[in-house]
Amino acid sequence: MAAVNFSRNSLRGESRNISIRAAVLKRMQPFISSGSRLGVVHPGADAGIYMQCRYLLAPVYITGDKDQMPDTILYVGDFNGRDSAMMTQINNRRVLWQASDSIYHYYLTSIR
Amino acid sequence: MQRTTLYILITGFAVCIISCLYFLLLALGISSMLLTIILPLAAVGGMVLFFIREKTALLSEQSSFRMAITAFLLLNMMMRVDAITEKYGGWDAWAIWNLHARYLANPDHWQQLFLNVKYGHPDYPMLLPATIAYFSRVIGAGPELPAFILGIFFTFAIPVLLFMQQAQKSIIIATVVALVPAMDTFFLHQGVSMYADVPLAFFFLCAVIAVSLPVAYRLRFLLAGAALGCCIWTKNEGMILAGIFFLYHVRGITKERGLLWLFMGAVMPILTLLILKVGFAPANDLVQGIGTHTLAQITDTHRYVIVYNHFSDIMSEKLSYMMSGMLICGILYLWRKTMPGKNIMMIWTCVIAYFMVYIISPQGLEWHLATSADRLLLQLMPAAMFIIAEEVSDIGPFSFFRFNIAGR
Repeated sequence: MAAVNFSRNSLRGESRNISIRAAVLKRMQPFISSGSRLGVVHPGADAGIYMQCRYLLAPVYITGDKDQMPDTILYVGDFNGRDSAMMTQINNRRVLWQASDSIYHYYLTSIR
Repeated sequence: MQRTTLYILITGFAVCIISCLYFLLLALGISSMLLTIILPLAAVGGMVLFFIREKTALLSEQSSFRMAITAFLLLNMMMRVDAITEKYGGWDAWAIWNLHARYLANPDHWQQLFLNVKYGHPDYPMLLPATIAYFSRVIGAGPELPAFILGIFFTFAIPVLLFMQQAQKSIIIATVVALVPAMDTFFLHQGVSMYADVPLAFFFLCAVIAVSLPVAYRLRFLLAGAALGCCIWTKNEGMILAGIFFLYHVRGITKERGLLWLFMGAVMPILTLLILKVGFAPANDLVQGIGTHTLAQITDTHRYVIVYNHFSDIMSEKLSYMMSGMLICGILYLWRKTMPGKNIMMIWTCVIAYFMVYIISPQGLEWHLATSADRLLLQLMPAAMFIIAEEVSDIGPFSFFRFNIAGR
């Protein structure tokens, strides 16, 4: 009874955001292997986005540390043309996959 | 001892056995799905048989009246958690506990977990994550549903255990002491948030219950040892609780030649934790942060005022019923002209130990208090409620209500 209720009525609070992100990142998983390392870059350095990506993509190792960025980087942000520096970074890299949800755009990139 | 109490304790220990063996298999590099599933189940089966066959004559059956109250408790909690459950749990659930479970569920890359030093706390004990990972692999799904079911078990088991054990003394006290947490939104919310604080509270309660069992039940120190081992394997704070418990009870246990039983109960989770801490996990951030500035923190009276005020606020706002119980005990001791009981002193020693953790904490004090102090004090609540009930149920009018209907 609890389990049925859990699956039906539990999308509230932060879980709603995680659920939206999970639906998008699930589509990215064929592009990265379980043992790989991935950098996550997002404007405003919101720890929440970094940690949600880490949770949803585990066991992939995710780093948000600028000094340890691996070759493959996931850019997450509400770009809307405002963060031109980040768009320039993305344009200088090879885009492997991209998608959007109701809040963010996602670009999985690697070095050219 | 109530038969139902034993079953609840055994279920808690089964969770511990599954998590220990699952982690040990991963540590040994054994990724066979069949062995990973069968070995923990076989061990749990052996443990269940051992406890069921041992001294079953000492177990008492549950009366239908008590079962009705238990059903009411469960129904009440079920209806309350309905409105507060979140699919991914609270922040720490998906950022720490279930994150660890996701790594542990992958036998090839699980050690990447230990690279998550920033915000990831990979040094935390693995009782919850390893059990969630085990069931996650068994059902072939994410960690959320196993984590939720475990959370529900530990949360619901606490009021039921409190009721079952106290109902033998006074049905009124038992009902009150079980209903209070069962109707407390803070407790229920923490329980279904999939954090490890309520499981730790459950195991600490089990340890206190185990040592209070009749002397004739010779496995009581084995149960107490297993419960303390579970505390240690659930959260780092479990080591503090187990240490203080041991200090307060070691004389009595040694006198009854129960030290070996206690050790036997705790050996498996302690060894597993040692393997995690020595072989895999990075140093704990709080321990690593202790340095020359710690002495300055200890002598800074302002920190004591801040921590005291915060603890007082929690005690009066979120755990006021526990404080009221403590106050009643205090009045009782004055009336009887006796010193406070050993277990009450133990609870207060735990509070002081937690108090000192914040004094020496290398983290920002306000932030550290705001994010964890209420959960730490909640860990002590079930054991405190049980101890308070033990003291109060001896008072004449309440013990008078050990009426026969409860025993029928």
